[in-house]
Formats: sequence, C-alpha cells, structure tokens
Amino acid sequence: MARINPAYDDEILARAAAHLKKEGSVQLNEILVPSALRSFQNLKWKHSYYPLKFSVHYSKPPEVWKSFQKLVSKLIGKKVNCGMWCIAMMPGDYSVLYDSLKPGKGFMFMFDLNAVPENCGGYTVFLKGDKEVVRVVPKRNSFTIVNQSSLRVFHKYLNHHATHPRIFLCGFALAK
Amino acid sequence: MNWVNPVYLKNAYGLKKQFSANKPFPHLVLGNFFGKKIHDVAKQVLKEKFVEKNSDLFQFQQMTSDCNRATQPAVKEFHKFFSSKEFIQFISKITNVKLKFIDMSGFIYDDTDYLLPHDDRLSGRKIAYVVNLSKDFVPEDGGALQFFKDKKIVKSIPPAFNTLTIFKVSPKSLHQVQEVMLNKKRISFGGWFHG
Repeated sequence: MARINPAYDDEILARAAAHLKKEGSVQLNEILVPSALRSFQNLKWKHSYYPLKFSVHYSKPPEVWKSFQKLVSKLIGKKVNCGMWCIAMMPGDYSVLYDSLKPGKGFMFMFDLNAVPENCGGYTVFLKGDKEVVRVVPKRNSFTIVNQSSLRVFHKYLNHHATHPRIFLCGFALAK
Repeated sequence: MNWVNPVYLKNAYGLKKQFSANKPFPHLVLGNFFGKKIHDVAKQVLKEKFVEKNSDLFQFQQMTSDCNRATQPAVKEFHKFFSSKEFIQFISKITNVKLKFIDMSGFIYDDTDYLLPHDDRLSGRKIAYVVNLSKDFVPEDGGALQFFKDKKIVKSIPPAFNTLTIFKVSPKSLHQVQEVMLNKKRISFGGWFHG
C-alpha cells in the first residue's frame, strides 16, 4: 500500500468501510501519493468499438493497480478476486445499457486520474431499475467504490467540450 | 398532396428503384421536398413546448406531445398532411411496404446533443423518417444522420433544410445522430410509418 496516501490509515479506512457498507458507495480523494500518478504517463491506447454497446480506449493497467486490490480488500473486509482495466474515454466515447447487459455483482471501483467537468459527460451512472442511485463524476486522484449488486451501469458520452480524456482504472471485485 | 414538390410526385417509380438500391440499407434523401409552406412550419415549431431528454443513449429536446396535439397552426396543418391517407400511400408506393399510420415528434439538438447508434426496431415500425427544418448547417457543425455498415459509418447526411430522409427499419438499419458541435439548433420532425 506504499503508493496509497498515508493519510488513509487503518482508522480512516475502517470509517470508509462502514460508510460503504451503509450507503453502498464511498469516494476517497487524494488517494495516491503524487509520485504514483506518474505511472499513468506514456500509456498506449487501443480503441474498442461496438456501436450498440460502447466506444472506449484501453491500455494495460500500470503497476499501481496492485495497491488498489489491497485497498479494496480492506474496504470490503474480505479477500477479493479483482479484474481491472485502464480506460481512456476520449471525446465521442461512451457505454450504454444494451439489451443483454446484466445487473452487476459484487463491487465496481474506479480510480480517476483527472477531473472532467460534469457538463462534458464522461461520468459513470449506476441505476437500480430505471432510477439513478449513484453518479461518479471524475475528480483528480480520487477512488470510488460502489456495491453494484443488482445495479446496471453506463458511462455517459464524453462531448466535444472536454479538453482532455477521462483516464481511469476501472475494476470489479468479488469476495472470495 | 399540395405540400410536396411536384417533381417527386411525378417520379414515384424512380424513387422506388432508388430506395431499394441505396446502401447500406434501403433509404432515400429527398432535398427540397416540401413547398413554401414548410418555412412557416420551421418558424412556428419553436413556439411549441419542448422538454430535455437525457439518458445513456441520447441528449436532446423533444416536443412534450406528439405533433397531432401541436398548438401552432402551421405545425398542425403539416402533421395533418403527413399523416394523411394520400401521403402514407405515396410513401408505401416508393418503399413497397404496406403502411397504415404515423407518429411524429419534434426535436431540437443543441450544442453537445446527440443520439447514439441504434436500429429503431420496435413492433410495428416499418419506415423511419426525419424532416429537417434547420438552416445553415455545414458538415463541421455536426448533427448529421449517419448510417453504419458493421462498425463503420458509411453514409453521413447533413441536416439540410427541407430534406425528407426515409429508411427501412431492419436489423441492418444501424444509425446515429452525430453530436452537434456548436451553439446552433438542429430542428427536425421524426418518427415512423407503422405497418
């Protein structure tokens, strides 16, 4: 956990875990130490496009992802199996609620490298049925975890007013 | 049929051939389609009530009710013509699809508005249509109706004033409305001819 901001000690993480259990989501700001943010430089992006489902750019996650796996385990209070992707939403990228999309299981977590104003889109929306229950608007160096059991999720189209992509690590965690 | 440019009325056979031959799926883009009265419609439609619509798939403004309940006389008259038995028969003839009735709504796409790829398939929808009422759009402004073949955009139709676009609804009819890239209103009527 050396790359996690040391201000997040066991006591604060325990409070965050309690908040996650009660509210279904929690966001931790200034989560990485500044040196760890540099690992996101020089990533190479590939475009993945299925018009009826999504348009995103993705890359191999930098090493820092291992720190998040430990963090998630502390927040959930159990050992977890994780999958993780490094995603860049460029202007024009999106994901939608296509017909065969099933409600989520376990937890989804996101580490956002940079902020994107809400009016540019690019944010993540969690729905229960048709009702929006959580919206994650990207904040610089923030970590968000959501209990996505029975929730559906989409990433709002990022419009041409965005001056930079939304770069984030996105993963899921299932308790072992 | 006094709303329609007579050039089109005289050429139903040619339109039928063109409709079925066009790729990536049967469609027609008919410029200068309506007569002068369309200018009044374009002016009055903005006096109708619109509401913002926002979801994973789209962002635009839509008239609060179907055009059959429009408040403006020119819009009402246009809807009356477009939903007439005579006009529906004309579209049936050129598409070779038996059509019964229409629905019609008004749309405004402003800066950053869009409609992501979809195929329009829903029970009863046979022919989709768009009537463009906005002026002075150039390709860089966005707002084009775009047709896909597989994952690629293969046809882009800029929103030219007084253009009627129709296309056959099918598993192949994947299309989108490109994001509007400036502070300009893309105004249109759209809906479906139902079978």
